[in-house]
Amino acid sequence: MAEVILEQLCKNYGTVEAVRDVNLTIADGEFVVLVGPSGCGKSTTLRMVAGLEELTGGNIKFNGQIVNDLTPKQRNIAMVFQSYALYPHMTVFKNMAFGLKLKGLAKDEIKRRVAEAAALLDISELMDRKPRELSGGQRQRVAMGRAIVRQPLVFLFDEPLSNLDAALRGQMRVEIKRLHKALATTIIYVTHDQIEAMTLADRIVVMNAGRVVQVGDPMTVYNRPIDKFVAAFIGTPKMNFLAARLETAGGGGLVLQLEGGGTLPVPESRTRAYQPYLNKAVEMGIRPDHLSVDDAGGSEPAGFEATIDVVEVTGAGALAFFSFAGVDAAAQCLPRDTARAGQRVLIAADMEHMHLIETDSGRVVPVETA
Amino acid sequence: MIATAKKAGLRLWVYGTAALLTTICGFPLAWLILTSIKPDREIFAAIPTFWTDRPSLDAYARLFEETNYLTYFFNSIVVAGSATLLTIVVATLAGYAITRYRFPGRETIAGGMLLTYMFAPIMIIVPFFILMRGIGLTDSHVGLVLSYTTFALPFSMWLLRSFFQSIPIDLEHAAMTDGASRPQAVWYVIVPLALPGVIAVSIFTFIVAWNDYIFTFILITSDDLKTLPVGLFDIYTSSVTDWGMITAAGVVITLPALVFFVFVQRYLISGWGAGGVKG
Ligand SMILES: Nc1ncnc2c1ncn2[C@@H]1O[C@H](COP(=O)(O)OP(=O)(O)OP(=O)(O)O)[C@@H](O)[C@H]1O
Ligand SMILES: [Mg+2]
Repeated sequence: MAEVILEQLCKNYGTVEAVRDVNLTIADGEFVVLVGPSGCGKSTTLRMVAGLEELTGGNIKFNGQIVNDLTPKQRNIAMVFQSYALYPHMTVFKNMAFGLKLKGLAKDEIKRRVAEAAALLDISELMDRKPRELSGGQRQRVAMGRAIVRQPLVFLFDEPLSNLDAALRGQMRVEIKRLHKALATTIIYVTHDQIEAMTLADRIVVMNAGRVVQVGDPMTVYNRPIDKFVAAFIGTPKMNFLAARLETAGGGGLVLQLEGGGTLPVPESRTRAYQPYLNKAVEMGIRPDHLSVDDAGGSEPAGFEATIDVVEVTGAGALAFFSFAGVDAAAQCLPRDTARAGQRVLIAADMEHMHLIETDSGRVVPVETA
Repeated sequence: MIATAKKAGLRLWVYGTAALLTTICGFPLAWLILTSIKPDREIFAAIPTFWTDRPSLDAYARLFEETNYLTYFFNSIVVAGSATLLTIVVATLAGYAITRYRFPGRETIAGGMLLTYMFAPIMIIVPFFILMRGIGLTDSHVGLVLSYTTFALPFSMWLLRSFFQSIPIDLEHAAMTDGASRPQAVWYVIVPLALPGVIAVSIFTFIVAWNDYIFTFILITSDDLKTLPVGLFDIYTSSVTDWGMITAAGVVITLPALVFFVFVQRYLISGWGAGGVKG
């Protein structure tokens, strides 16, 4: 059990700044997910916490104590690798017992702990097999088992599920969440899959180009992204970004004049926050969930017109893709709308869920929450 | 039908070739062993016979009673064994260091290692002798062991380096996050996985040391420090040529190398297989 603090963490490889100025406090027992595009420094950060990589600058603290110069052995962490990294020459049992043997635990104690972890992960039957005789999912479980038996201060996961197929990944996600509930150990989990981040995390840390961009619980990061990068990275289907101008409407309200044609009323609650951007070019961010292809517009909703390129059926729902002022965008529609590809339709926007983005900085203009 | 016939044909061809090669390689050895147990009269028979009806170990008795061969034998075991152990230890550490640590000139050193291997020992035997005399290691087993290690090391380091390079770094890191120190990670994870390489190195070094004639000839003067190859030559040149004894000496010199190889080669071919990492 440990609280982990990263202070001004930096890592350079020659001239490459892999990690820059990362500050993060992870509470004891918290499940934190580092997420970001490939090469943004997630693994490097994790490996620094593990003690596998020297720091260029900053501090790492476990329970208030600086561990910068401690070896991985001294830090008492456990890590699960993307490649699983099972010892090929050892049986599953020996793989899991390895760390305990090094600790000098008694044989009985080792057996008990391994059996316990194996039961938890449902791999008790595999104990005498070698890693090459296991399926990908089984190897993954063994790798987790090897981490669990050590009862470490912190679990470190580096994309543990990325070599599994989609179904297995979904199943393992649930199991990891369940394990965290059962063990209540601090977990730092790295992934580039934002769905994993959303479903697993107590808190998400979004990274880009070696920096932390936003930290928050999944719903906050999803609903109130701090900038365009986070807005675009978190959530599938991806958020739409439409160029617009903020103007005054009659009666003191604001409207967005879309570059591709169409006028959308800005919710009254946001008038004050958005006032400084009056008569300026901005971008409107809105998720496809909050745009819909309107059927014969009954109650005259806020919307704009566009021509549907293709409709992708996802099951119960469907997504209509269209090009708007040169930008690709998507809106939800009904599966039967496939027939409407090529037609010009009215797209209604649920403006309560819009984001206003500064064009130059990419910053999402914050709004007071009710 | 056709497929099975083809398979059978292929099998016949494979086994036939293997049998032929085995015969070619094994014949001289068989001849040597058979000659060593023949009575003298049969050895010098005008029409050589393959089998003998009256096998005897007289030649061996003469060999061990009349010469210092047993001493040479133990000297060879000690020297070759020590050189092999020393080479394994040094080559493993060096091969590991040169794969895992970054330092200036790393690639140059790696390339240079192979270059030094290309010098034939005979080319540098004189400076080597002068060097050994300078540090007072002529006429000693330590000097011999160091010589063999020197000549086996470049190739051994180079070979082990490529083995280490093929072992994913994640495995070592996994061991370290599992609570192993670096030496423990190397000992419990890296070395077992590089075992075929370690075996190959041990065979190579053992053969180099066991078969050496030139270093012992130059460095060793005391009779009771000599090793088998030089001892064998002494027997050959000393008195009347006793072919029975010489073939017996030949068998004695061959057998340990053979036993060593048979013992060690099953590790060489077993291998550990993949599967630890991804797949
Ligand atoms: N050993 C190294 N030497 C030089 N550069 C490195 C090294 N390791 C990582 N980098 C660089 O540091 C940056 C961050 O790498 P890192 O592995 O942390 O990315 P990541 O976020 O884990 O990406 P991915 O999702 O692809 O695993 C990258 O630009 C990478 O090229
Ligand atoms: Mg990574």
